[in-house]
Amino acid sequence: MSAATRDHLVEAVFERVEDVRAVVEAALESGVAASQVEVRSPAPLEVGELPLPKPKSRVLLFALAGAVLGGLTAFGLAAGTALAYPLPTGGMSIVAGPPVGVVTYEGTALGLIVMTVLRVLWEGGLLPGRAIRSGRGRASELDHHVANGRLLLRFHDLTEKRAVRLRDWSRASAVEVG
Amino acid sequence: MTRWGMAIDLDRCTGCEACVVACAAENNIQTVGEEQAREGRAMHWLRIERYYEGEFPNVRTRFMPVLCQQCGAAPCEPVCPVYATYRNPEGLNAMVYSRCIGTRFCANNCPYTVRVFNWFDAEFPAPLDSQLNPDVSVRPGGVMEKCTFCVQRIQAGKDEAAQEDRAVADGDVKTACQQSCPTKAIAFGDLDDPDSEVSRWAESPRAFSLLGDLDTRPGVVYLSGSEWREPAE
Amino acid sequence: MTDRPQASTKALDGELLGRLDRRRPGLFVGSLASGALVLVFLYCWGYQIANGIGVTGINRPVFWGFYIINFVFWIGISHAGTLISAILRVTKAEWRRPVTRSAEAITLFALAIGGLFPLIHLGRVTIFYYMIPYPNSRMLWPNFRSPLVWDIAAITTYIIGSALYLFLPLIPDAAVMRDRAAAGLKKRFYAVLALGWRGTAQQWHSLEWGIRILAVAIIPVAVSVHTIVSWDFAMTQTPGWKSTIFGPYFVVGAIFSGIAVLMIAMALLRRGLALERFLTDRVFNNLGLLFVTMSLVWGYFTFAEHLTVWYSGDLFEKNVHHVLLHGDFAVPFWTMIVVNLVIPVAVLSFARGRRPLPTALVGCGVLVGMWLERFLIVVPALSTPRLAYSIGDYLPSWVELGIMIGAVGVFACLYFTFTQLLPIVSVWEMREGWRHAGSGGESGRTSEAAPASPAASPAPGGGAA
Repeated sequence: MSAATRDHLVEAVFERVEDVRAVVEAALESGVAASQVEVRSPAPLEVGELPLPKPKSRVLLFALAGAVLGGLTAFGLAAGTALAYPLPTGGMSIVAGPPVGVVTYEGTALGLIVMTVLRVLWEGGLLPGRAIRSGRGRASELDHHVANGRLLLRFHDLTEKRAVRLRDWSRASAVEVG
Repeated sequence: MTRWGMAIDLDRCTGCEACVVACAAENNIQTVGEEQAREGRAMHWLRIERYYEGEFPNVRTRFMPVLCQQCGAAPCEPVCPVYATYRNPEGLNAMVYSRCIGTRFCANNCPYTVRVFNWFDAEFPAPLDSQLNPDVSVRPGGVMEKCTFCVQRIQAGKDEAAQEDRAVADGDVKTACQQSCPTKAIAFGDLDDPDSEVSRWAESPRAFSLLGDLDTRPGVVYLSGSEWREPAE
Repeated sequence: MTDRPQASTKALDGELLGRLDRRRPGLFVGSLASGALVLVFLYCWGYQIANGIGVTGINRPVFWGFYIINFVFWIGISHAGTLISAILRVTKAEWRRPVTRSAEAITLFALAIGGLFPLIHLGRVTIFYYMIPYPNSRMLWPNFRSPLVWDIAAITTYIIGSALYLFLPLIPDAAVMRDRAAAGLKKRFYAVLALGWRGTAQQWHSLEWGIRILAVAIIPVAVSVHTIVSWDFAMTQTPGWKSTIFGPYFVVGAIFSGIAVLMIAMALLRRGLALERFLTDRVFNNLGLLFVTMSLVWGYFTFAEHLTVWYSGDLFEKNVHHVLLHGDFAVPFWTMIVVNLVIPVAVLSFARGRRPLPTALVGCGVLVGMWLERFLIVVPALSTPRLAYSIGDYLPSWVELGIMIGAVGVFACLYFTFTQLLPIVSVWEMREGWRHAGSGGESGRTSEAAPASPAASPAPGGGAA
C-alpha cells in the first residue's frame, strides 16, 4: 500500500487532559488537521481545555422551532376542531379562549421538548438511521477505557508515516495503530 | 324555536311519588335492589326530597320533586371530555349514552345531584323485561344517565304533528311524571311560547329557580306560595 | 463535597463503578416481592373490568373515590424528580449530581401509575380512546373545554418530557455499561440504550445543550400539570372545590409529597447500595431544608384556603368546612395537620433532624398526610352536596384497596428493576463534578496509569505496521 494513503488510525488512552492536550498540540504543529483529531471523554470537557475548535450546536434553534410547531398544532387542534365540531356546552362559546390557551401551552412545551431531543440525537449521530458505521465516531476496541474514566484520543485519516510518528510521541497508557 | 320547560307547583305536591314510579316505567330505569339502594345507588331520575320543619309534634313536611333542571348554562356539559352531554337546540341538556365513557365528572359538577350512574349492566329479569319501553334504549353499565324530559315523547309529539302537517301545540307532549301526577302539579311545554301553560306558570309571582343564584338558567321552574328555604343541614 | 474529592477522585470513581458491577440480591428479592403486588393490581383491575365499576364503594353523590385520590397522589409524587432535578440543574447546585437520576426515575414511574388511575376510574375503560383526538369513523371528537382533556394534554406532555429528561442524561451512562459489559445479551441491551454514544466533543456539546433546554422547559410543564390536575376540581361549581388557590396549592403539595418520596428512596438507596460516599450528609441536609420549606408553604396555603372559606360565611362552603374541621372528617384532617406540618417543622428545623433516618421517617408521615389531603379534598366536598337530601357517605371496597396497594407494588417493581439495570447515581455527572472540584492541581494519576508501551495491532481495513 502506498505510503500516502490516508487510511491510518492512531488511538491512544490517557489518564489526564493535560497529556491529551500536549499530544494534540504537538500533532497540530506537525501538520495534522484539527478535523483529524477526535477526543472521547467520560465527562464533558471545558471549552478551551483542548486546542481544538469548539463544536457547534443548533439545538436551541430547533427547540424554538419545535415550540412554534407544537404550539401551532395544538392551537389548530383545540380551536380549529372546535369550529369543525360545534357542540354548545354549558353556555360557553364554541372556541373558548382559556381551554385553547391551556392546550396550546402544553403543545408548545411538547414540541419544544421532542424537537430538542431529536436534534441532540441527530447532532450526536445517535438516531437509528444515522448510526456511524465507519471512521470517525465508530466503536473502538479501546472504548472501555473511556467507560472507566480515561480519555481516548484518536487521529483519523493519517498516512502511514505520520501514524507511526504519532504513535511514538503519544506515550499513552494504551495505543492502537490501525 | 322551541325551548322545552317544566313548571312544578310545590303547593300542589302531596309527595305521593306517582311521578317517580311513572318515570321509572317510562324510561326503563333499572331497579337496583335493596342492598345497592342502601349504598346510594338508586337510579331514579326524579326524586321527591322531603324536608321537615318545626319541632315534634308540630312538624310540617315539605316535598320537592327534583329532576334534571335542563340548565341553559349547565355545569355538567363542559366538563365532559367526550361531548356525551351537550345542549341541544331545543333547550334540552342531551345525554348521548353511546359516547359516555363514565368519568362521572358531570355528576360531580351538577349542583342538583340529579345525575345517576349505571354501576352495573342493567338487569330486567322476567317478567320485568316485557314491560320495557321500546322507545327508550336500555343503558349499559358504566354510563351516566338522567332525566331527558321524556325526549321520546317529545319526538313522538313532533312526528304526530308533522304527519298532521301542523305545528306542535301546547299539551301535545306530556311527560310521564306530568301525566301521572294526581294533583296536576306539573306543567310541561314550550317556554318560548308565551301562551303555553308552562310559560304562564313560570310568570307566576310564586315562581322561582332552584339554587337560582348559581345562574345555571334552569328549564325547570318551581312555584311555591310560602318562602322556600334551602335547609342548611 | 464534604469528602475532599481532590484527594480521592480516582478511588471514588472506582468505587462508583464497583457499585455498578456488584450483584444485588436484595434488589432482586424486592423486585419479586413487589412483582407479587403487581399481580394483585392486575387481578383487582381485571375483576373490576369484568364485573363493572360497581364493585367499588363509590355511589351517588360520592362519584369519585380512591382512584381519583390516588391519581392526584401519584401525580403529586411524580413532581419529586423532574421538577426538583430541573430546578437544581438550572440553579447549578453541585449537590444535585448524585440525586437527579434517582429523582427522575421516581417521576417517570409515578407518572406512569398516576396516569393509569383515571383509566381505572372510568365506567367504560374499554373505550377510553374516545378522549384522544384522532380522526375516526365514529365522528367523535374530544371536548377541549373539559379539564379532563387538558389533563390528557398535560400528562402526555409531562410523561414524554420526563421520559426524555430521564433518558437523555442516561445515554452516556448506558454507554459506560455497554463498554464495561462482556459481550452478550447484556451488552446488546446497553448498546441499544446507548444509541452509539462514544463521548465525542460534539456529542457532549449537543447533550449539554439538550439537558439545559429540557431542564428549563420541564419546569413550567411540571407546574402546569399539577395545576391542571387541581382544575379538575377547581373548575367545578362544587362547594369545597371551587377555589382559586387550588392551582398553586396542588403544585406545592405535589412538590412536598415528591420530596417525601425522594427522601425515603434516597435513604434506602444510600443504605441498601452503600452509597454513603455519594449521597452524603450534605445532600440530606440540603434536601431536608427544602423539605421543611415546602412543609411551611403547604401549611400557609392550607390556612389561607380554610380561612377564606370560614370567613366568607357561604352556606354551602361552610357545610363542607364543618365536616372537615369538626365533623366526620375531623380525625383525618387533624392527623394531616400533625404529620404534614407539626412533625416536619419540629424535626427538620434542626440539623440533627436532617439526617437520612429522621428525614425518611418524616417523609413517610408526609406521604400519609398528603394522601389524606387528597382524600379530604375529594370525599367531603362530594358527600356534602348543596341539596342536603343527597348527603352521602363513602367507604372503599376491597377492589379499590387492592388496586391502591398493587399500585405501590407496580412502582416498587419498576424502581427496583431500574436500579438493578442502570446506574441510579449518574456516573458521568459525578465525574464532571469531581473534575470541577479538582480542576487545577489534579493529582488523580496513579502508577497504574504510567505510560505503557505502545501495543500495536492491525485493525481491519488499515494497512499498518
